[in-house]
Amino acid sequence: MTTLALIQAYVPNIHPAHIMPFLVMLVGAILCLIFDAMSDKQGSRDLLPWVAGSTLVATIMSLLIGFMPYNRLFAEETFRADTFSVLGSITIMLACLLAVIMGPALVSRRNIPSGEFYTLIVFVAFGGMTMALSNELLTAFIALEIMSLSLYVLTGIDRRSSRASEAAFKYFILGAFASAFLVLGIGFIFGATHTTHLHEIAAVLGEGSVDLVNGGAAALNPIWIFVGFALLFVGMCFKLSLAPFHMWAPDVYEGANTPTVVMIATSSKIAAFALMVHIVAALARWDLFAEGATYLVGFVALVSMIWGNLGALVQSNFKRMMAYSSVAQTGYMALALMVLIALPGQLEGAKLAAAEEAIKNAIVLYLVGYTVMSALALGIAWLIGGEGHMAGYRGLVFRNPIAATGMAVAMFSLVGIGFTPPTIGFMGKFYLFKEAVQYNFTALAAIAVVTSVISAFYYLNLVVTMFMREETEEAGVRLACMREQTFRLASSDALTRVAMASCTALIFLLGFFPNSLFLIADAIKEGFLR
Amino acid sequence: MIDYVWLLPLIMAIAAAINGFGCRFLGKLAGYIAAGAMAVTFIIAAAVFLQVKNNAPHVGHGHEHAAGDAHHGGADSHGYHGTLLERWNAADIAGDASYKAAIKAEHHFVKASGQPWDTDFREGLGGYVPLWTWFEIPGALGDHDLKVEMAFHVDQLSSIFLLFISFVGTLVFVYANGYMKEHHDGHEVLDEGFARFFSYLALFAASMYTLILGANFAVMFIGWEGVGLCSYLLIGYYFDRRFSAKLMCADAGKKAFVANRVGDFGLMLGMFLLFWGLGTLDFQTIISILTSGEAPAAFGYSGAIITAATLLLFLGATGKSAQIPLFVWLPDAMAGPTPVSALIHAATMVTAGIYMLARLNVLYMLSPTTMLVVAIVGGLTALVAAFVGLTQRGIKKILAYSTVSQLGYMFLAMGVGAFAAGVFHVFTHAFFKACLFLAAGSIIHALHHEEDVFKMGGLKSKMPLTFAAYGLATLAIAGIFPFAGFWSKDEILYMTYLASTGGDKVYLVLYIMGVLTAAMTAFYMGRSLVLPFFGKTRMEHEAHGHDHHHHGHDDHGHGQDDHGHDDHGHHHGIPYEKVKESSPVMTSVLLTLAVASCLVGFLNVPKALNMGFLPDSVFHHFLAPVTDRGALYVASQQFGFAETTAPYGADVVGGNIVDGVVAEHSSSKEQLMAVFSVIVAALGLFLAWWLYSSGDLKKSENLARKPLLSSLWSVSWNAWWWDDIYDALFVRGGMRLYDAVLWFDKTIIDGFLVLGVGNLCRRIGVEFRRLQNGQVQVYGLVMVLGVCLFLLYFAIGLAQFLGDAKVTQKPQNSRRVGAVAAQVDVVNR
Repeated sequence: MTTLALIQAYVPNIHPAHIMPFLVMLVGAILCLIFDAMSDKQGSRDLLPWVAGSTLVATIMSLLIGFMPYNRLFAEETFRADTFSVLGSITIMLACLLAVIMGPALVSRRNIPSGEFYTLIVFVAFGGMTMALSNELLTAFIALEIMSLSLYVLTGIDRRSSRASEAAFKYFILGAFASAFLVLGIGFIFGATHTTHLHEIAAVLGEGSVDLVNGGAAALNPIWIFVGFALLFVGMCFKLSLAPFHMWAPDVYEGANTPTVVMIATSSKIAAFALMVHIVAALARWDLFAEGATYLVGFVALVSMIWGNLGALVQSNFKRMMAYSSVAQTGYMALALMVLIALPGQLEGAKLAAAEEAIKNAIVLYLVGYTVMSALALGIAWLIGGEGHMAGYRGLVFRNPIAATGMAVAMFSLVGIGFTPPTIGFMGKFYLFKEAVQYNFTALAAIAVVTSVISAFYYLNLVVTMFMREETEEAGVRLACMREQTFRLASSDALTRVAMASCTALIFLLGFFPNSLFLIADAIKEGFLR
Repeated sequence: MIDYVWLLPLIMAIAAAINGFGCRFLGKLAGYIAAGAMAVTFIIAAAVFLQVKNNAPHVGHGHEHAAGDAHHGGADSHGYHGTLLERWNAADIAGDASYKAAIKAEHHFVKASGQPWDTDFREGLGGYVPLWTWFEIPGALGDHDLKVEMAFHVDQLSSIFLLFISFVGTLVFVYANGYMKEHHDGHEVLDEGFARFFSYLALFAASMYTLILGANFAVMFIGWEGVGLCSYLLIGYYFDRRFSAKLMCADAGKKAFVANRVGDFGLMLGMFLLFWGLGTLDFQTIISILTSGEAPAAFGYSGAIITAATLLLFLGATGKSAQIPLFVWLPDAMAGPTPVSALIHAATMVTAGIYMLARLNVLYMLSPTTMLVVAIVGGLTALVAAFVGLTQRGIKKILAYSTVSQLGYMFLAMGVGAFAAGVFHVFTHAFFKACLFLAAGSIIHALHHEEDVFKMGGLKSKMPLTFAAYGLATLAIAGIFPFAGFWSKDEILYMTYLASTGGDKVYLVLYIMGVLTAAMTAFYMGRSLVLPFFGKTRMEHEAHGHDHHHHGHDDHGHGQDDHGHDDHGHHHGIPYEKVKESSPVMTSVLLTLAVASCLVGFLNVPKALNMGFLPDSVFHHFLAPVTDRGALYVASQQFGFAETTAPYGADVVGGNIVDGVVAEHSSSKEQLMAVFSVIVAALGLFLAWWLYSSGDLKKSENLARKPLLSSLWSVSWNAWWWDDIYDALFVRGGMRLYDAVLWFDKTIIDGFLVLGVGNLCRRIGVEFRRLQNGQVQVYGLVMVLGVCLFLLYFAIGLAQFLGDAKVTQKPQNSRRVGAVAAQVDVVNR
């Protein structure tokens, strides 16, 4: 009897439908492994990307259908699916899908074990989604580790490349280092609030005191919450490549294969941002938090914007430039995160809720936009073999006008401010900076604009290189597509090209109709099943 | 159909995209795609127009019986004479308030069937088509939210514009299919940039539709800039060729663009001013705020801001519609291919300024100062440009100055408050001017790009169809009864005359200027008709012998020569005997337009002239709910015509009200003036015939050598030295400024700021890169430093905070504690 009660107390009460997306992914990942193990010929391994890809598509479908209850806690209060996390999860899936699409060419060119490759991509997506949806810090931590470990392996999966191995090693060492801070931070927060569930943390912080196991209650100790947040934030900054915790990014971007870079640049950042927004929303229930944390996050945003953009200015390698650019871009989003933290100090009640919603929307809009822009830039670089020295891009427009145009669209959109009104880059930045100005962070917004202008220099420099410079003859620098008279793409690259075309279309679509993203969000809210 | 009006710009944009992307391999197909798309939009536009027409309030009919008698002239019991207006003015001067009240009572307008005059066109017609919200910024300006909707609207005014733009546009697109290719030895040779040309042309149409359909300033501005861009691209279409001694074609494009930038700057400032004061960019909202009586004082009648805003907007209109002081670009815009001149620089784009004024007539009516400025600028431009047209030699240049002059007429109409009359002139002008340009193009095409009328002559027998079209259109523009130009021009002149009856002599001067312009118009148009078509030819004859190889398709270059001499003329000319009528594609278009130029005038025959068998002022009645709103509002608010629901629409002229009814009843004077202007026009034409019909230029050259005439001749020939004055003042001054700016840019901006800041950025970047040395220990160290920084931050913050922290005890009542305790119990058991 007592044993049964004990078991019952510990068997989680989970509705299977609620965790359908997770189940789909797990089944898909296992299918990938089984498929790999059972196939002995290369021919049948060629089907692996289709298994992985359909897993991701099925997950997107299950997210859209709305198995999960909207904006309510489910699965033992472990998860919460709101607009941000569901839109984020879908974007994570799409970015991983792009990696899958790019995969076959990589696998065949570099002779990479395909079973591991596709399975790990699915696990990246799984970890990312779990992280974005989680309402519980330990779950989030484990999800983050699932995602990170998969990414470490993917980074170094090309074992014959010493650069890849070096990158994987650095990424792993520094990642482990950051994870240690993260888990320590979670520990401190647990110590202070006696819970790891975000909604309970919010409740405890709202009350201002924590209930003890022995029946008493103790005052919150703000030191441990702040220290906990600081350490947790360090770990998240690492994932988000926010300065000064971004040092790994250029080396890893340069060394890793491009499909993995796409995921590092987008999926892992979306997941981390979703979690960060949820954590901040919980902690912001505490009236001291805004006072304490606003300028910490603001500082990180500031340093990232400056360091990222100035760093990118002096790069000659395309992927290193993109790495610094991602530091700067996440810096802009951290700006909005800071506003989110500061908000409870300025507004109350319904106004506060509306404003928080608006900021979250601004962040998710920019996240999606950033994903599309980065995917476009990296994907085109992948297609034309332009992942190396940027001098190779000289005169690209004469050899491959479509690729050059697509890359130019990505670059213009990445610049955002001032040049390209109907692109997502402009709209996204516009809303981010608008939020900052609206809640009296004018100086930081001004710096953001100035650094954007600086960024125009290196982004548009690439456009100039492509459109106005003579082709280079330097053998080591020339792009693959220029080196060979007829640069034949792998057949799977046709899909990549379709994906790039869709990205280009999305840049303009979301630029003209930024609200369409939230129409999707509304559809998710309604759900197809609910 | 109104709900699908967005199809118009969309179809043309798609056509532009197809042609643009497919320019390498589309070939002849590009022309068919563009013309086909344009034809489809014409059908849609026609359907839209019909729907508007059927839904529109029926204004006017039935009213004349109800109120007509009261308005007939003659003395009444108070001893005042004349029409209602005259009596009103007399009473006003005499300060007879009681009589004014009596007139008001007597002048109790009967509300016509259908909608009252100030019905919101959206409610009245359902013409508002919102597409999506483009921008929404809460609290962009104090309490005002900036909300920019991508929205179109259709009302009477825009449906008329849509109709003639799509009609003339379709014809020009078809014509261009013939024009943009040449025949060499039986082979058809497409122009080099054939698809590019049609891509631009289609993009132009898309922009023009957007401009006309935009429901707010922002959308209109997209179209406004779009047509400007296309105009620039098309003027510079032959970018590698020389247009005149001074200009490359590309430079002419640049000139147009810069002149338009100046105007657009004014337009934008005007827009911002309105948004700043009223908090919206939406036309209808602006108008309803202004007419609600709740607008701030500065936006009231003669308000300072409304005057400033309308003047700034008018500056934008002078740029786009080539008025003084910004008209200089239009004559040079003829560097573009002739179909472009016909469609963009005569029939459609240049009328955008007039469209804007008509659209915003409420704003303009609220500012008498601006109205006066508009009238003066319009009248002056008409006269000045017509005067230049007298002596020009390039046939397209003559037509260009004529366009400027006719646009001046339109603005004159706007300035005296006759918005509907101005729009009617836009309407008729589109037909006859497009016809003239296309006929000129037909000549130019046949003569292998000879444009100098002095080097033509006797073409009547060689190109009979072109001659017929050009002749009819010339009669129309000269104002000969009963061709289209007569009706529209006469209406404007008559309204200007009416304005002067208010006692303000400025309008009398403007009227005289208008009549003078009419005479000159008849002369120079007669000249441009007689010189190419009549008399002995001045072209080369085959006997002279020439080299066949030299008139290949690359000889567009010398097109128009400012100095009237032509370095290569002898080699390039086609002999008279070889001139052939243009292809049926082109001539059929010409004849269609020529027939239209004869007929469209009958759409707006004033009551005084209709002799009882035509419906009177159909066009005006149709437009009245839109174009007369300002006049009626001002009439009711400022001049005491309360309760006004004037069914005919009204025109406030020079601050005096001329009610539609009153205007239509002073018929004898109007008839007299019509006869007068026909005589003036006929005299002009006759003079041209007398001087030039022999084909011998001696007579005119002798005349030009007479002392007074020679100086006038050089004023006209040099276009008042307007370009030279601009060159000295702005271009050279600008160059000097440019030098100064260049110096500043090189030393201060580039040297100090860009290179300085750039180098600083770079140096910092390099330092960052030095930190990025690839050693993972260093990366870890940086991270640790970051962590320390974080903790230090909190340490400092908390040191301050800890002093205030208060320990509070809370009673233990949480469910959670209970649950945990229960669990612990279970475990313990």
